[in-house]
Amino acid sequence: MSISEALDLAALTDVGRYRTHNEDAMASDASIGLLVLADGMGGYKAGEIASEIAVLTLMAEMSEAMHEEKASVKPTIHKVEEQLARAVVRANYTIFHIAQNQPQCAGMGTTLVTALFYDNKMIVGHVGDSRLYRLREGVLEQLTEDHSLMQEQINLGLISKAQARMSEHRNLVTRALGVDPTVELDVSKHHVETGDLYLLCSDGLTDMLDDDVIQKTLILEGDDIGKKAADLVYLANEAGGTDNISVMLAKVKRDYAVKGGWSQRFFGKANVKSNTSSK
Amino acid sequence: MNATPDTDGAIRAEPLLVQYQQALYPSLALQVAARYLNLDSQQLQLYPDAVELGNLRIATDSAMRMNTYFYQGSDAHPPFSMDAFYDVLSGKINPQKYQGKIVLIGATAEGIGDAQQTPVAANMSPIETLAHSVSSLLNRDFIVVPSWAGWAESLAWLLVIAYLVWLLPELSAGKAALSTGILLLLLLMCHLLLMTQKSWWLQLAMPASLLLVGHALLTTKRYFQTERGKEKAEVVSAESNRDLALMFQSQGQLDMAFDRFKKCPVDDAVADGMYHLGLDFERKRQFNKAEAVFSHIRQYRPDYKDVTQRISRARQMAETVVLGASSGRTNESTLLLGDGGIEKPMLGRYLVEKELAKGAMGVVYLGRDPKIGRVVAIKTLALSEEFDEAELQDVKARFFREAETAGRLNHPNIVTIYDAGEEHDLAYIAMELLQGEDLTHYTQADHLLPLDKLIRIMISVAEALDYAHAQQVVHRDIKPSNIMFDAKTDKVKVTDFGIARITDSSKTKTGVVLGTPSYMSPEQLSGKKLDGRSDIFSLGVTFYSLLTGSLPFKADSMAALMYKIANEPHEDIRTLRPELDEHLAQIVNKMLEKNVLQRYQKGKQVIADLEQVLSGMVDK
Repeated sequence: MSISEALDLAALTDVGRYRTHNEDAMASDASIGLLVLADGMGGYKAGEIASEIAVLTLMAEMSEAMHEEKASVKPTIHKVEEQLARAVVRANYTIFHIAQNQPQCAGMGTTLVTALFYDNKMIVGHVGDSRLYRLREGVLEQLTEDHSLMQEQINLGLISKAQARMSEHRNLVTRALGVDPTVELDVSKHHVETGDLYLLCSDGLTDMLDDDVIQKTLILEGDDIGKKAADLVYLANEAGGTDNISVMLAKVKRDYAVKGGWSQRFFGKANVKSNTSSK
Repeated sequence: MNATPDTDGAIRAEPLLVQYQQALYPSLALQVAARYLNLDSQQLQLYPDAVELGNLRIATDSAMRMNTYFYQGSDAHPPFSMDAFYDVLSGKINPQKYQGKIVLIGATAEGIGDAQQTPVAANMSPIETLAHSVSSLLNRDFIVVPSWAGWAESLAWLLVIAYLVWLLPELSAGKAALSTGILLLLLLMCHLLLMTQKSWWLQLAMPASLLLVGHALLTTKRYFQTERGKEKAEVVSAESNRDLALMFQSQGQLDMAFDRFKKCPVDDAVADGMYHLGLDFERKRQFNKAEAVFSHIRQYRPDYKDVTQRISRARQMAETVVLGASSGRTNESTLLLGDGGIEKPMLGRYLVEKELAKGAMGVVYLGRDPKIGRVVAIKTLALSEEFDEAELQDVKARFFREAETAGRLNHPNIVTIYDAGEEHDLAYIAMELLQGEDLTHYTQADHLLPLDKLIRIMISVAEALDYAHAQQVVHRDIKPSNIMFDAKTDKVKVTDFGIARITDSSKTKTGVVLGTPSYMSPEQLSGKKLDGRSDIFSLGVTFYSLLTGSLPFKADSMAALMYKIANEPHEDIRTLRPELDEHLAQIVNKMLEKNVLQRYQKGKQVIADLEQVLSGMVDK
């Protein structure tokens, strides 16, 4: 089953109620099952540039890599994962390079969250505080852990979640694309089931809405994911809308196993187990 | 003659017995051999897979054919000696030569008799073939098809088919070629080795050719598939690549833009974008690259605008420019001074002389007030680039408020602020130009300051802090790089009072923590409201690193560092420098106290304790 027929996609971004620019960027390519969302940061228009470069670089590199791979031998999920990491390294280097050379772009950077659906699995990569959630059987679960000062403080027990909401460092991220010549990407693989609903979003959504509100909104409206995305953005604006709000939804309609050679079918079974246990 | 060619017209086998009208007649070769062995046809025994001539057992197939072994010779040494009959007749050759040997007489000259194709020669006269057959018989050199040959051949066929169907599609092109090559070699080697060493004949050449044909077919199919996939990928990724290229171009990253453009099919939009890229390269006087861009356009769109003229012009320019300017690069960050010294730019009432440094927030310039001749350092901040228009008013107000607060501070150990203002979209602060360097250099273990000098510096900083805290101003970023020390005059100045705060606020919207928070206090890390005691903690960290050349809290990750600052005690300074005074260790410990209530509350308290240590040192 080809991936583009297995996924329903919806995406919506909004500048919010206070900002004049939208520094978020996102894109998807149904033919390879790729979703990318980035939340840029930096003075004036540099944030938009950083997020746009990140998204476009990933789209271009992955589209090229996946179609080349598809034509010959079906790649293993590990190989796809490597490709994704390589594309992120490339995006990071590009943004860093421009930030170094263009004074008006100095200090720009971007968060990144990307999901690549492949062979009944999903590879998730993220840097910074943009998140990926999964709604399965009515339960919402956050699959990424923010790279933010606040998250680190919570992990260390320095502050409670309630205090975190008041903290003045709320939006400081500890990792971002384009601020260093190298970047550490968190990659994880997840087993995907038919009926799963995945949400990629910028902190403009999660700063405004609690997880249980997001969960309720996603459960409502049946299968109309376009409406769900619109509802999320609407609610975030109602709750303040202090930042750009971006939402991407992917609904898994059926399985999308890759038809590989016999050896992949044979050995592939063993791989699934180790993957799910790794994360 | 009774030779029977194979399907390909070559002769590989010799029927030993020929059936003619229900009677079997021995072939000429067999008869010759029988005669030579002094046997007659009575002593021939027939078996399903062999013919026995006396003691000589000759393996045959079911049609009583023997696979002749063809002897390999060379032009100089043919396997059988051949003489012209004429030479024998004329007595040129001694008849002794033929004693005890079989002599076959026949026509060999070209054009006489039918030439036969055999494994060793393309046209062999029948008499020679006969010689090979007879020799094979007598020397028992005939090639045998073993009874299991059929099985082995079937196995080889199956192996090849299995390889082609299952294994080959799994392999990448390089690996596939390698494994096919190995397999082919293996089959042919088996074939040859069995033939020459064991005289067994297995039909492995046919599976080998199937292998070749199959491989060729599959790789062709794969090649076309890949090409089709590539075309599709190009369509999908072209849009992303084009957008990236335009973005890079707008950011002045022309090389990166060209790289991306090259990945796009050249349609109108791309050609237009590339044309402008070429013009950009021209403007930067990078004519080689401009030429490359225009050439790329021409390759796909030969008549696009004036590319052909552009190419020749760029080529000419490239040649002339190389002699002149070595680099055509402009540095846009110094645009302020970029116009080549015709007239020096002004910032407020200051004449900007030159660029001193690039800081985190903006460029620092050396300026001069022409009216009173005062030389100043001007820190600039590109406000409109750092902030959204919506926030701009608010941030500006805060900037000047902070500058005003810092400007009110009037202390010998605090850098004096003269002026603040805004011009050319730049906010700036004019301040005292400092001599000397900051203390970062002295935090290295092999460049530590003498103890008495260090304590005096610390006293000066503590005095500055005590004064500022009394005015309700918190520095927030005390660290060695913010303390200037002039070794010639021993003067100490704390810099960036209040400015740290502005820098801070610009990052609290959405930003990245720059650098590591090694000098931050626990309460600062948890985002609480700060007072002067936070500065005293930071001064403690500074003191510690200047005393020991090592930071009190060190960790691989930011999170671990923050945990240590908040929870773990530091190592005593005397474990790193045992000769240090116990009182000094107590002072450091009290400055680094995690609980604000148990820490020094005021700079004055620090000064008092430090002076006591200092007087103790002088007494000794």
